[in-house]
Amino acid sequence: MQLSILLLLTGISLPLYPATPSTEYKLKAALIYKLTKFIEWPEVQSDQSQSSFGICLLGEDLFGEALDELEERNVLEQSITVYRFSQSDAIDARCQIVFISKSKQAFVVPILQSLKDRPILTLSDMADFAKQGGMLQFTTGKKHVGFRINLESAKQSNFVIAAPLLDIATIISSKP
Amino acid sequence: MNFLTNISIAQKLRRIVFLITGVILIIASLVYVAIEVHYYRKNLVQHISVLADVIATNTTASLSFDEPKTAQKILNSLHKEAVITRAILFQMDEEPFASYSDEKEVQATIPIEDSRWLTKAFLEKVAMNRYDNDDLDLFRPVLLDGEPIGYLYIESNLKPLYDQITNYLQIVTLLFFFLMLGVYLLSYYFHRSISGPIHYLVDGMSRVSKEQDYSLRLAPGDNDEVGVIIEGFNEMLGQIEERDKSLASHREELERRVEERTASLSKAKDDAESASWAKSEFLATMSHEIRTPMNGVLGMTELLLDTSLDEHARRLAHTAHRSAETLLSVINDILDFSKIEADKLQLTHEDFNLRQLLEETLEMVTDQAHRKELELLPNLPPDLPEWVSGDAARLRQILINLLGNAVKFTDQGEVSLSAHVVERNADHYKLAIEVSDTGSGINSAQQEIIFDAFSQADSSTTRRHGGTGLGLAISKRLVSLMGGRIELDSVPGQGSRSLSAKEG
Repeated sequence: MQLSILLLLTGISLPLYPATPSTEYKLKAALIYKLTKFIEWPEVQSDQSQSSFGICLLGEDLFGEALDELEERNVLEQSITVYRFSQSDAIDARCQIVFISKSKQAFVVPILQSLKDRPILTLSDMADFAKQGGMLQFTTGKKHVGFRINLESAKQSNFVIAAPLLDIATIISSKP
Repeated sequence: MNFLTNISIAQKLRRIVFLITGVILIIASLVYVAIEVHYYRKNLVQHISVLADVIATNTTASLSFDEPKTAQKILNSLHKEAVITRAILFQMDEEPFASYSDEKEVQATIPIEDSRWLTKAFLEKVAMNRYDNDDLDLFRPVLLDGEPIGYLYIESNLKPLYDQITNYLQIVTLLFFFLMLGVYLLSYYFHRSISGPIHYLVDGMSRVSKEQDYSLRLAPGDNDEVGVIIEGFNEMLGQIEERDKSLASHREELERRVEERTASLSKAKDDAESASWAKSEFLATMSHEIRTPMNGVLGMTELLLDTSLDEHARRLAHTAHRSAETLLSVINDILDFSKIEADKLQLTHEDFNLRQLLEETLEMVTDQAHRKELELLPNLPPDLPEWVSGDAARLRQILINLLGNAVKFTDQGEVSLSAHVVERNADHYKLAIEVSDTGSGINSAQQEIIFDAFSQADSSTTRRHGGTGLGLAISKRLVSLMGGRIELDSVPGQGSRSLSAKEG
């Protein structure tokens, strides 16, 4: 309680950094890692010079250290590096995945627009994310986390999503 | 090969064809089934492996994102594969994640017989499969990026294979019967070309042996073994026919010869019979015709001797008388022998005094014995029967012959005559009369022949002692006519003992 009070006192100048993430976000962090195995990464395969696999977080960080723990793992024999951004302008080529936090829900359409045609997989757990053009959306059901996938968006950025993942996911098309 | 005896060639052929076809069909079917089973099992492993790989790939997301519904959906799609009886998808902690069973509404569980094998598979974490009786068990780790995230276990059953084989066997059995029917019809059609000529040959043979008609010839057959047999049969018939003909002509020739021979033999027999009759007639006539003039000669020389003759004339007359006597005795011998040989001699039966006859006979050779200074010893026991019945003249003739011979062939010593009763019955006696001498004796080879006609101990004796050589032969025949026999007991140099046994 002392720490939260301290946070409140220090104000918004400090980065949002919860010490202990909730069970839900621990699971979601693990799911992000697992997802990487069901996706063919166009950029990573062609560009061997890149030494790390970037997982970027845009907006409020609800994962905390659960996301940092991923750095111990590898994707396609590249170690994972986690980047945190508050502005979508800062997102660059280091990112292979961008997780857009619920805090950016109001700006999701311009953000997606800015990431469009770039080899970055957009991911979020905000409602209607897939419908608004996001590639992959976590849905929270009664027992476990499900997926919604917007195949059009994924194809636009040349991502191929493995069939088993499509099997368990719900396919969504963009709003007309 | 018991099933091939006692049946016709046609049946033999049919059975052989049946047997071979049946055996080949059965072997071919069995080999086919064996190959089918082998490849089915091999292919099944491959097929199920591919299926397992597909399922493992498709369930990676389900396992990763803990979404068993989709995995269950994927496993349920296995119901299209009739071979698969159950499939279970495990999480890394070996807890079942999704499962499938071919029996509806039944939760698939690990079968007891597979649990140990599965435990081992969980430990080793590598793909493996095994055949457990008729079950194929297959184990696959579900890999994601080379890392196991779960396990898949699939059990398949070979029952569809056996259904297939049963089906196949039913078809084969049906086919077997149709094939056999076809083989039967075909063999029935074809065997006639083999057994037909043989039947023809057999018919021909039985006709020949039944009718004994060797002039029959069979029509030549095909150019095969049966054809050769028919040819040989015809040839044999020809030879038999020829032999028959030559045998028949030979028989006729033989019959003709036998007839000829029989005719000539019966003619010879007739000739011999008539000659024999003529000889008997001749002898009968001669016995009278010869004796009458001889008696005349004897009577006249006796009368001449009674007249007063000077010494020289008397000696001549005496010689003539003695010569005539000798000649008469020779003639008598010859005639007697001829009579005996012709079975014309009849013995007389009269009562006579035996002792008197024996003594008189001995006296008749006394002169002869005294001239050679031999002693004559009669040995006539007192119990000798006095009056007996028989042919006294012939008995005397025999004894004179024996005694005469004994005196003739003994140069010094003695000649004895003895008689005794051997057997005495109510109406007849058996007498043994024995003449023994101390003469030269006769060796055993000559003993056998001296009783034959015209023989003496050796030819030199004839020159020295004279005689016709008929005396002993006549004696032997007379004794046997009387129902007795003559025995001779002699060692050369020790004299002879002739024994005549007589019944009367």
